[in-house]
Amino acid sequence: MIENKYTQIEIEYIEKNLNKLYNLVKKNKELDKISLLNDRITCIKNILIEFWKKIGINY
Amino acid sequence: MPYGLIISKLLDNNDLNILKIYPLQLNFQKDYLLDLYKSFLHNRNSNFQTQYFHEQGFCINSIFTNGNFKYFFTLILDIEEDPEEYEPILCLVAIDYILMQNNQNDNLNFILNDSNIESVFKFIKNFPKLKIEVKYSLILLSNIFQTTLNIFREKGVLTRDQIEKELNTNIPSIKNCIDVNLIIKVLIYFQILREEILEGMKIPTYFLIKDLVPCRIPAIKIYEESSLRNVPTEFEGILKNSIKDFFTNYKIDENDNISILKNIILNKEVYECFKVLRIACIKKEELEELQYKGVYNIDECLNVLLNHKMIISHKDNKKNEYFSLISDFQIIEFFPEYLYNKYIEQYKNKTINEFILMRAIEILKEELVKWIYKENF
Repeated sequence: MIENKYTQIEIEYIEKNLNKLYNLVKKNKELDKISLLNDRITCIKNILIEFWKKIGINY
Repeated sequence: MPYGLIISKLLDNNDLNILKIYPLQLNFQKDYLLDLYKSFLHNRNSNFQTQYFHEQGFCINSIFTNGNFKYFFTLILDIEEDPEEYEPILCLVAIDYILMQNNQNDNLNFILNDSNIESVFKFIKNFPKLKIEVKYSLILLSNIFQTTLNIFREKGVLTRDQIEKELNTNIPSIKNCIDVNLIIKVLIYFQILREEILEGMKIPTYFLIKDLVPCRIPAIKIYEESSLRNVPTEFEGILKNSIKDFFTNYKIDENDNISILKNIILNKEVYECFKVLRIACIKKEELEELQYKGVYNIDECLNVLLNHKMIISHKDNKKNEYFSLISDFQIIEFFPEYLYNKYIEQYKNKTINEFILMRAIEILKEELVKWIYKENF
């Protein structure tokens, strides 16, 4: 069983976005210009890419 | 250690019908059980209760299933045991049992199908010792758990009533049949859901905090360290090419996953074989040493692994037959980062309460720090 992990930089990026979303919701503001994070398929793809790299092929 | 298992049904006239009892010599009279259950129902604030009998040295861990089918699933344990360790498997057995009574098909059915109460009891008894991937396999096989997880993957946060409503919409045949509390209990045990009673709310809210994806991954250790892992030199090239060829074309396939979970991870003998092959390339006669772990039919185990394209074989000049893994199978735990997008969508559509949403974002932040990469990972 494998646990996917994030680097400190990735954590900070996600945290920054979560903070931004939290503050906008708190102030009841529109979210038109807010950026998105990875969707589920991309999250999974990013995990698998690392394993495929180890045998020298692209996922 | 658990001593015994009792499955009984509460009848409309408040009488009790004991349906299954193991072992048969377990000395529990119907009236005694009925008194215990009445006290459980009278004091109950959940479906789960442990009653301790210190002088006799045992405790009774019961779960009660609400809805149209009122059953008690009771495990009798040594007083030193932690009853909570057995609650998830008791919930799974309960769900499975009720589905079978309703002629419903769910992949969970393997727990009880063609089994007698003795094998069900043995399964329960061994549950705390099982590897986490084997425990996860139980919920990943189940249609009900998969549907619940998919609901959470879309919404991120739901109350008990909302889960029930969504489940009834997605699987109408289980309406009033399966007690949602059992499903929630299992998902909390696996730390997939987090329960919180939010300020001003009387009922708990459940948040998705972890996601799972079962999939094949290349046999990396064998690939990278073939000489250290017993791979004969003349076999090395063929093996590496086989791994590359297989994974160049691989896409996650749900049916393939289900078949691997069912026939490899949850098949005790095949799983023992698979675990050894994860470590090294092995000669057939070496695998025969697994008999001490209860693997008696090596040929059949190897056939299952070959048919699932998990392994390939190789014969050397001396007619030694080697088997090596080309595809591993892992259940990957990951942080549900994508919920951020789902929350934005729900906020824009005004389908989520702002107060709940703010707490959901805070919870994602709290959970995120647990996923930090460590040097030694």
